[in-house]
Amino acid sequence: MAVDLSKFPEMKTFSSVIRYSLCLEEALEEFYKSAAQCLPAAAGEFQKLADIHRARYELLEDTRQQKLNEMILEPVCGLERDEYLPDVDIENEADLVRKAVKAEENAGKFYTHLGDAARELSREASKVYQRMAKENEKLKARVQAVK
Amino acid sequence: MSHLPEVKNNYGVLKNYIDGTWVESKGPTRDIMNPAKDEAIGQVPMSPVEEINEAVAAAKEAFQDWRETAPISRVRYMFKLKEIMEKRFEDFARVLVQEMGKTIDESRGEVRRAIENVETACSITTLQMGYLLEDGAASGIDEEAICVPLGVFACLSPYNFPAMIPYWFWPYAVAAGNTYIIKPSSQVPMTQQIMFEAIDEVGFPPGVINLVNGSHELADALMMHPDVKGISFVGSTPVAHHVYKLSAEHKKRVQAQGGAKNTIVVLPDANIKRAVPNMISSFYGCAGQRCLAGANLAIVGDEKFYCEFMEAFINLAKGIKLGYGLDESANMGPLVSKKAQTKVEGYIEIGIKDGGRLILDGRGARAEGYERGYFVGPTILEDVQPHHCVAQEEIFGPVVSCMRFGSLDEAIEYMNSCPFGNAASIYTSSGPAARKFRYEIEAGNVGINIGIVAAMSYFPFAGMKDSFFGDLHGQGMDAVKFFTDRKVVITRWL
Repeated sequence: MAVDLSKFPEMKTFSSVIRYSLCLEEALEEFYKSAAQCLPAAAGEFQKLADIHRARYELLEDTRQQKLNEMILEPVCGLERDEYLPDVDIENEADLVRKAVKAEENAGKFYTHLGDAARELSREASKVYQRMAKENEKLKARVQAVK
Repeated sequence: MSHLPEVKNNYGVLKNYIDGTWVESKGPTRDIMNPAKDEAIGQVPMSPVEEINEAVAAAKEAFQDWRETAPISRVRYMFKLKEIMEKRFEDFARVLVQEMGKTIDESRGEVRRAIENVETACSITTLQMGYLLEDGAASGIDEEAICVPLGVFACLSPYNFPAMIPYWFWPYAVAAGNTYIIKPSSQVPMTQQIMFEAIDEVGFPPGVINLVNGSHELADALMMHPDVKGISFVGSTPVAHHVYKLSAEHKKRVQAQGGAKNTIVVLPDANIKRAVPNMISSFYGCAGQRCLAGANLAIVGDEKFYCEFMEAFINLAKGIKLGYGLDESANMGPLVSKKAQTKVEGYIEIGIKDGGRLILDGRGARAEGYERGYFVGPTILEDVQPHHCVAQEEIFGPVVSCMRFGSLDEAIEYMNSCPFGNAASIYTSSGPAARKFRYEIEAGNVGINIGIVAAMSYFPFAGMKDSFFGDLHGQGMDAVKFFTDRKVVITRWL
């Protein structure tokens, strides 16, 4: 599966950061769906991971709609678009788990930085991102356990 | 240009919703324009007065049964409405972008505010509760106050928040047992049209909530109608004054919210890095068409601070990207109409003629792919004096009138001399300065290091001075008081 990286916006305002995070979760969901097809032995686990990223997408959409009304236009500094782009193109089965681990690490780093950036704008939203970063650590461990 | 899909390209001729039914109006129609494209996207009927009379008659007929519906049952309708609104959330936001021009994020924020008012109205079983005092009148004689609904109320809403503003009022009115009529702005009637699809789906009893499209003639008819108990209005100050006078003359309750000219004060101890991004949203969000928008920037401090602050402010203002609101990368949409664009550009001219120095000129700004849109870019006028027209009058566009003051006292004196009193903000790290500002400023909504002082649904919303005529505000407990009367009962058992 080739991820359309052009969908990931430059992260200049809080609004664009949220759109970036939605793109990221969508990409990871698609990645795990493809992984489930590539590696039938681990299809069940990969499908569960895809479902988790779908649920995270919905959580982010909910956060955007319910917790960020007035701060959406505010500029955000220090989040570089290219730093967090996921590499989720599946080239071969052997490489799949390594890429999944890397993708979860990368997402965890992104949400950690986003949690910091959001703290001054919305503590409620910031906590959501911090929880997501912690969840990425657990997801990484789950992926590492896939044989 | 790529953008989010529109719900529809064209919405045809809008209908009225009277007595639980969608009905075609017999009135002539006007085009509804997409301000980013200068294209007609539907037609709004200019309903004749007979049609508003039909709506009042339906609402009056529905009142008694609705009043006798238990509050907990009325609330269940509101819960159902909230559920449907969540499902239709994105549709509402996109239609709002199409007809009003604001960005999709701003529209989503507005729809969220509407839903929050429905949520708050869901607590009417508590909000409407009266009170009783045993032996309150004398030993053995109890006294109680009951909050009773009054009948038919109506809302006349403006163009800048077509989704949210009717929801400052009607959920409380209806939840409290009244019946209601909404007349949206004829410039932006589609948002309410589509939100009424949700109301229709809820299945309120016929006549409880009605929608009639049309011009100011309908508004006047509502204000003079003997069966209408009260009017809620939001718009400009001259019209608010007219609404207040005419409605009161016809023995109605009134809450009439008028215009604004909000000043944001910056003290030299303000945290520039955090303050500037926050206040940029206030000045340029919704293209300056918020009644809570910052309009005047009052800077206190020496030359060094002033230059440092202005450099940061101008840099951020320059970075604002104009575009069609459904393009998620756009930071600012067009003004609502060609007329509004011409008016705002006219004010910029006046500002220059009066002696202001134009350091960022938004006139003639164009958004790529939307060259016919009614855009005005971020504008900054420096060296504005307090008596200048652009410091006194409501421009309602993305124009910042920048003034300098020697002290906070001078800034407050200027602000309190202005006829408007909708909102005022201060940016400072000094507690005493913030406290002084909060205490002395004559404004209904005060921000301390907050640029947009938008009261949540469970707090009252309105301005002071010429920004509001009336006493009870919109939203929350104030709204419940506006839509109910206190009946006192004294009881003795013989």
